Amino acid sequence: MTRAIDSIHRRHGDPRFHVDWILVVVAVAITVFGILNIYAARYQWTVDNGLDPYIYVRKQLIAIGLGVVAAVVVAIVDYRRWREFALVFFAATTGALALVAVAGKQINGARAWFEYGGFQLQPAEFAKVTLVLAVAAYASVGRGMLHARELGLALGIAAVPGGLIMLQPDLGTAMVFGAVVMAVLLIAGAQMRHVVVVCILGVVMVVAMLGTNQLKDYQINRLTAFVTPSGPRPGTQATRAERNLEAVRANLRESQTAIGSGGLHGKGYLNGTQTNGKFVPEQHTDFIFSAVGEQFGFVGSTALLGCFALLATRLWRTAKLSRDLFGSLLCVGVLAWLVFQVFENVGMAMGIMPVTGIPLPLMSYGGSSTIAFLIGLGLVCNVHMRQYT
Amino acid sequence: MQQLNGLRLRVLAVVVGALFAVLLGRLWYLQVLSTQDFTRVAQSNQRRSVQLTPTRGRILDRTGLPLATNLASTVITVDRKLITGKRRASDRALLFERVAQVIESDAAAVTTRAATFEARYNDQQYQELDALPLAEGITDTQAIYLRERPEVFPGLDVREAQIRAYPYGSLAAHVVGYVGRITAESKNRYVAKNYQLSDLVGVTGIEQIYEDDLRGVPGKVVFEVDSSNRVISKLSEVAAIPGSDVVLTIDATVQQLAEQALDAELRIRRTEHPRLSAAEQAKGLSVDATFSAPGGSVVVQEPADGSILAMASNPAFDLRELAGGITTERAAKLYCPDEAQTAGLCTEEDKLRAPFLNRAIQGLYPPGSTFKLVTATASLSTRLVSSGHEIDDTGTFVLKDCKSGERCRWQNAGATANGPINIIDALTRSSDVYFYQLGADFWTAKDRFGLAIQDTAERMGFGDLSGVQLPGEQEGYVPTPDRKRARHDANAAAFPEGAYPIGDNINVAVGQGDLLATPLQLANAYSIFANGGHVLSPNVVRAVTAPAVSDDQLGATVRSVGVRELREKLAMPAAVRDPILRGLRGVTASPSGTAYQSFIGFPLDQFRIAGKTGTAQTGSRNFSVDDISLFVGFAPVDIPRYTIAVVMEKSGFGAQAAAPVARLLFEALSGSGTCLPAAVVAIPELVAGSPAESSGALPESCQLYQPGDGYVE
Repeated sequence: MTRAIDSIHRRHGDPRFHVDWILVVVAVAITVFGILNIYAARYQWTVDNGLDPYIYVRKQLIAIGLGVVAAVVVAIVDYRRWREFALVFFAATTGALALVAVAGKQINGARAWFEYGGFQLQPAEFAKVTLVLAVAAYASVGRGMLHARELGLALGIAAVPGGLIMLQPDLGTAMVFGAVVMAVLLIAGAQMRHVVVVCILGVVMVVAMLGTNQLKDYQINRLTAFVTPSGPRPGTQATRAERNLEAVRANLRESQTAIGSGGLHGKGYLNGTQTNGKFVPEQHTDFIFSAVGEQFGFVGSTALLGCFALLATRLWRTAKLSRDLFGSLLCVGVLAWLVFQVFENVGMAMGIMPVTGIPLPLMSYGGSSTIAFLIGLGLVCNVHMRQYT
Repeated sequence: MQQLNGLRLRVLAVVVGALFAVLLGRLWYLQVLSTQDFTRVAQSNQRRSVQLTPTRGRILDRTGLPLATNLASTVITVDRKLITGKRRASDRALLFERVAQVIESDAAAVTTRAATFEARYNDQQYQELDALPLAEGITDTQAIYLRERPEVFPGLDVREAQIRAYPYGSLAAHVVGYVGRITAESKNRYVAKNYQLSDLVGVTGIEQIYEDDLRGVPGKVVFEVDSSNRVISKLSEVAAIPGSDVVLTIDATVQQLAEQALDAELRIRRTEHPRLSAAEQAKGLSVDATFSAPGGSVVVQEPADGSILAMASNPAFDLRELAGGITTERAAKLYCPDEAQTAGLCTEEDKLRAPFLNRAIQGLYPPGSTFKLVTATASLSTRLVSSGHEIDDTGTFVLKDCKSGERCRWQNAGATANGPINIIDALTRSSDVYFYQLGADFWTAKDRFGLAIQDTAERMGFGDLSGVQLPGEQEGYVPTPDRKRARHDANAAAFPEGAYPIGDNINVAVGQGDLLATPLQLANAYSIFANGGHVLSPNVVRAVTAPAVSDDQLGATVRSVGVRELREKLAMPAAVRDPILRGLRGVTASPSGTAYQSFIGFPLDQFRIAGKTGTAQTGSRNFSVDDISLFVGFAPVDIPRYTIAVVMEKSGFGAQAAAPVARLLFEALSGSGTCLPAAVVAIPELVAGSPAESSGALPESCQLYQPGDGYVE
C-alpha cells in the first residue's frame, strides 16, 4: 500500500504521465479532417489534369509524419533546456529569412520559399516557433514586469524577422508575428500605456505603408477587397489593378457562395459543386474552410471551430498550469498563433477579414506550416508534461 | 515564484472567446440565414446552357423544288480551352497556321486564311462555350488528313454541320432572300426573341418575312460546368424543333425563263440605238448612243387568285455568294454605299446597278401608256365617255382656255395623227391625244366625278402597298392636288411646285407626270381587270408546311395562304369591260395595234392576249434613250390565266423591248411555240469570283422575237 502510494508520488512528477491527451486527440482529429478536405478540394483538379487524386494527401501525410516526429522530439526534451537554445534557433530562422529574401523562390508575388528538388520550405513558418521561444524566453526574465526598455528590446528582437517577412512581402505572416509578440508581452507584464503606444506606432506604420505606396496594388486589393464596393468606376476601362481587385472579390464571392450554399448540413463529402467545380482558388491551402463549409455545412463547420476552440482552451489551460512564466508565455505564444490564424483564415473565407495568405493550422495543405505548428503544439505538450517538475 | 498575471490571462480568454463567437455568428449568417441566396448563386455558377440550333425550314417553289435548303457541310472546329489565354497565344498562331496550310495551297491564301481564323477567335458572335468553328465546306481529303493527325492539330474536331444552301444561285434571289449574321442594329430585337448572336437570320425576301416559321424552335442542353466552363456532366437536353418549310407560288421553271428572257432582252437593248428625234440630235445626243438598259423586272401572275408565278428583277445576285460569307471588297461592290464609292471600291455604275433592289416591288416607274387601262376604266365607269365616243386625234392636243405660263400643247409620240377615234382604238393605237382629252375633261368636271382617274387607280392598287409577302415594298405615288401640296409643304426644296394645274391631270391620264408604280402594281391592276374586278393581294407564298420527312414530299400544311381580298370589288360591267378588252386585244392583234409587230407569228387566235404597251419618259432631258419600256397584258382573254408585266429601264419603246419578253413568256406558258419552260438545274458549287448574276442564257428553243421597225407608239 505504502509502496503503491510512493510509486504514485514518484510518478506524480514524471512527465510521461502528464501528457495532455485531450490536446493530442483534438489535434489528431483536426489533422485527419484536414486531410479529408485537402483530398476533396483537389480531387476534381487532379482528375481533370490526369493526376493521381492522392498526390496532395500523400505529400501532406509526409509533412504530418515529419511534424509529429519533430513535435515528439520537442516534447521529450525539457522546455527549459530548449530555452537555452532559444537565441540560437531564433538566429538560425532569422538568417534563413534573410537568405530567402535574396535567394528564395517567388510564388504568388512573395519571395518566401526555398525550393530544392520539388520540395519547398517556408522559413517564415518556422520563424513563428522560434519567435515564440525567443520572445517568451526574453520576456520571462522580467518576472511579470516589463519596463519600457525591456519591452522595446523585445519588440526590437521581433522586428528583425518581422521586417524580413515584410520584405518578401508577406503581410499575413507579419501580422501573425505581431499578434504573437503582443500577446506574449502583454501576459509577460507589459504596461498598458506602453502597449497603447506600441499599438499607435503600429497603426501609424501601417498607414504610412499604405500611404507611401510601399505595397503593390494587388496587395492592397487583397487587404481591402472585402470592404470596398465592387466594379470599376462607371464609364471607365478597368485598370489592371481594378481587374485584379475584381478577381480577389470574385475569389471571396465564390468562397462565401461555397460556404453559404452548404447550408445547415452541407452537401456531403465530395458533393460540393463549388468545390468540384473549382470555383474557389487556393481551396486546398488558404481557402480550405470553404470546402469544409460547403461539404459539411453549419454543423460540420461549427464542429471544426469547436475543435479549434477546444484546442485553444487546452493551450490556455496549460499556460495557467505551467510551473513558470516561461512555460506560460510559450503556451500564450502558441495560443495567439493558433487563434489569430484561425480567425484570420476563417474570417477571410467568410468575407469578414482581409485576404492574406495565412494557412488554417493543421487543415491547410502545406508542409512548412503543418510541421511548424506541430512543433508549437509539441512545446505546449512539453509545458503540460512538466507542470510538476 | 508565479509571476503570471491571472487577470490578463482571463482577458485573453475572453478575447479568444469573442473571436470564436464572431466566426460562429458569421457562419450562422452564411449557412443558416442566407443559405438560399447562396444556393441559388451556386446553382447558376455550375449550370451553363447551350442552345441547339434547329434545322431551318426550306423555301420551295410551287412544285416542291427547294430554292433554299440546308446542306451537310464538313466543319472544322477547335477546342477553345487549348488556344485561350496569354500563354497559349503562340500555340494558337501555330495551330491556325497549320490548319490554313491544309486548306489553302498558296502562301498568300494561307496567311489570309490564318487571319480569318484569328478574326473568328476574337469574334464575339461565336459562343464561348462551343468549340470555335474555323472553316466550313472542308473536303473529304482535308477532313481525313486533319482527323488522322490529332498530335499535329490538338483540339481540332471535324464534324458535320448544316449550312444554308441555295442550289440555284441567283434564281428568284430577290424573292427567296438570304440569311446573314445579326447586325448591331437588329441585335436587341433578336435577342428579345431568344436568338444567339451567332445565329443566322433571314436578311431579305422570304427568308426575312417568314423568319419565325423557318427558324423553328431552338433546343437547349444544360451542362454542369466547372469554374473554367469545362463540362462536368449533361443535366438536361431539350431537342430543337425544326423550322417549317415555306412553299411559294413561284414556279421555278417560269421564274427561270422570265429571268433569262429579261436578261437576254436587256443585253440586246444595250446594242441598239434609239431613233433620235431632231430635237435630240440638236441637244447633242450622239447617234452612236445605245440604250443603257441597266435593269428591269418581270412579274407573272395568276389573275384568278393573285398568285405570283414569277417575279424577276435584273440585275440579280448570287445567293450562294451571300450565304457563304461575302468578302468585304465584294460586298462593297455589290451594295456600293456612299463610303465605298468615295473610297473607290465601286463606281457610279455599280451604284446604279443596285442588284439587291427587287425592282418588281421596289422599282418605281412612271407606267406610261400602260396606265391608260385605269383612265379608260374611270372614263367608262363614270360614263364620262361611252365606247362610241370619238375624239379627233390630230396628233396634238391643244388645251382650251389655256392660262398663260402653263403648258398648252401635248403631242402623241412621234406626233402621229390617228384621226377621229373611239376609246377602243385609242387603247389599241395608244392615242395620247384621246387620253389627254379625258384627263382634261375629268379635271374640268371634277365637281361631278371627283378625281375619278386617281380614285380608280387607288382602287386598282396604285399608290398603296399590295401586301405581297416580301419586305421593302414601295407604295408608288398617285398625284392629287392635296398630295402634291402636302409633299411640297413638307419638303419645299425637293418638291418646289405645290400647285396642281390641269396639265398635271392630263399627264396622269397617260401615266406620266409624278405618277409612279411598281411592276407588281401594274401586273396586279391588269389582273384585277382580268378577273372581273376582284382586288386581290398578290401572293408569293402558297403555304407553310411542316418539315418534310423526305426531300421529295411536302410535310403537312401548317398554314395555307388563300385568296386575299385587298379592297372591295371593282364594278366591271360589260359596258366598261368589253370596250377596254377589245382595245387591249387590238394592241397585239390589230395591225394598228402598238404591239402588233411584236406579236407577228404568235397564234393569237388560239391564245388571245389583251395587253398594253407603254413607253414612259423619265428624266428632265426627255431623251428617248432614257425611255422606260413597258408591256402589261393577260391571256387567254376568255379565261385569263396569266398576267405578265414587263418593265425595262432605259430600253426604248414598249413594243421594242418589253413586248418581245412578254411574247416569249406567253408562248412558253401557252405551249404554243417551240419555247417551253425548261427544268431548272442546280448549279455546281460556287467558284470564288464567278457568282451567277442571272439564270443564264435562254435555251436554244426560246428566241426573243425581234419586231420590225414598223411599230408605233
